Amino acid sequence: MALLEEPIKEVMQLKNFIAGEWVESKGELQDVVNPATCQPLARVPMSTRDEVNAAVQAAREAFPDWRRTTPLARVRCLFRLKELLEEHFEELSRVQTQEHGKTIDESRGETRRGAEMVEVATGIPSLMMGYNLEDIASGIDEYVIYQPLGVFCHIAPFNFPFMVPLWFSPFAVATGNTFVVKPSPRDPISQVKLAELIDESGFPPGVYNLVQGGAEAALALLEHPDVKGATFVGTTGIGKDVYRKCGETGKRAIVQASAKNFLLVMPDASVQGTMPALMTSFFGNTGQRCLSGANLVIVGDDDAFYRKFLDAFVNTASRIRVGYGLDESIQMGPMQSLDGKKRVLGYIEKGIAEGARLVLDGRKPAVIGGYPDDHFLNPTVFVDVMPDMAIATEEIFGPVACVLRVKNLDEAIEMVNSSNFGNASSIFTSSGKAAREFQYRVETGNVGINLGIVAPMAFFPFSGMKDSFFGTLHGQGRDAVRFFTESKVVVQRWL
Amino acid sequence: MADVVEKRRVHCARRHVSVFVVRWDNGSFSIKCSLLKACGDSCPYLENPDYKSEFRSSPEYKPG
Repeated sequence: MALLEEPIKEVMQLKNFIAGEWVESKGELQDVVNPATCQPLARVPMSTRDEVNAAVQAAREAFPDWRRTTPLARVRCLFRLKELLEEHFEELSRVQTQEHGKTIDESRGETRRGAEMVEVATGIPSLMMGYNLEDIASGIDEYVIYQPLGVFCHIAPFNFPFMVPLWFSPFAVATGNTFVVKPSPRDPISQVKLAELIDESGFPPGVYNLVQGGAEAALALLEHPDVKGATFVGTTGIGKDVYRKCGETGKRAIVQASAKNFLLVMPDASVQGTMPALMTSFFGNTGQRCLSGANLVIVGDDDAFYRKFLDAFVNTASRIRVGYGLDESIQMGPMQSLDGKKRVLGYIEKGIAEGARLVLDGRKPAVIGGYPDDHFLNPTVFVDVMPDMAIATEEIFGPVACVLRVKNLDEAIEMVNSSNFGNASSIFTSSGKAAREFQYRVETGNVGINLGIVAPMAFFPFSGMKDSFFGTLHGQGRDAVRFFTESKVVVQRWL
Repeated sequence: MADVVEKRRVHCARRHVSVFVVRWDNGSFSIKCSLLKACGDSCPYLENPDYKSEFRSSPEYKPG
């Protein structure tokens, strides 16, 4: 198949966006590489602490005027942004494929999800309303007002470089706060494109700022006394550090972290109806998704069903077309980074050493289109996996499925609940009773019933439990509105 | 005035949105989509109201 045209044709020199201006950084430069072609796309600066401070200062200075801007006027900027996102939809999507490696269909889905966050945040005039009660005592009324707090920041992951910052920023600015985003240095270009559109949308200087960089820039944001709250999506290890740092500095925090998601298949599940959902769950985004399926748990002692289901799963996975995502026929792209691929290879070795049986080996990838295989893997499936093996308990973050077998639903739910993580889980069944039991007892923040990827829509919170989430309120929807506002309670009496 | 003979909601894979394809009894059809202006002539349904993307996000399951 022919490739779609690449929007990034020359190596870009990335800058920071501070106080409405594109500013060059003095920080060291790192290469941003297209993982499918291994060609350089951009040079991204590791911004210094002074540069981060300048961004926070700009956001702090923009805050008083912005919070006084009426909610209706604020969301007009978001309405304009939404129009611009539609105008640039395809370009934004292709940039994600170039910088991350995901397929163009996955990128288009990501762009859509990002745009939906903006759409929902345009409802702020209603979403942000407080409430009141007359006569809480004789002649005394009480009401609550939701007020913005000031500067918020987001430290972004590499796996959804365009969408994840939008889980937070539209809600933050719509509620009257100002914002600083730090994209992942691995794939920061779609955030640059987004900032260009935000600039065009009519937001005043300083309301939205972008600083490029790595750990030092992130730390500078977390330690800055003028930052009232931080949002982070990444690994549990770093997430715990972020949460601790936010505690030390008195910041609000939403920390979304690692996952090990279980997908249960009951003996009454439809093999045909389940397979497409399982394929996109385990191998979509090359398994680099906190909602990806990781452990496939086949329930019951029906050997014939087990063999039939497993054969179908392995056979379908083996036919996934792997290559450069700008070829629309491709169904799985490369790993975003060499480090990520190395980690996955390490887990495959570990799984073999632990005694699991490798029935589909993706280590010597067949890549359609003749691209260098540096970043590529093919789908990989282990069977005879035991619940205490590292491959069954630790996050692999790649296209590796571990198949486990249990006797019944109780045992399956116990297995899910014994995990340190609690991001998502799913059950595939035609039994409402089993589904209800699963939903009721399972300790994960997001629960799927006959769905492989439990991605909450923009108007619902993106939940998570245990080591997959640190905080109280979640991103997206009403939770995000509450996170980005303080409740001020007024009790009044007129004499 | 022509009457509607068919109204179908389809998933547009290019934009990941719902699109309505409306057929009229005079043989014409129209595409109802909030993004039609943004897509312009590149909308595949304008050319072919029965358009289906040839691409799939995963291989088809083939019962053994």
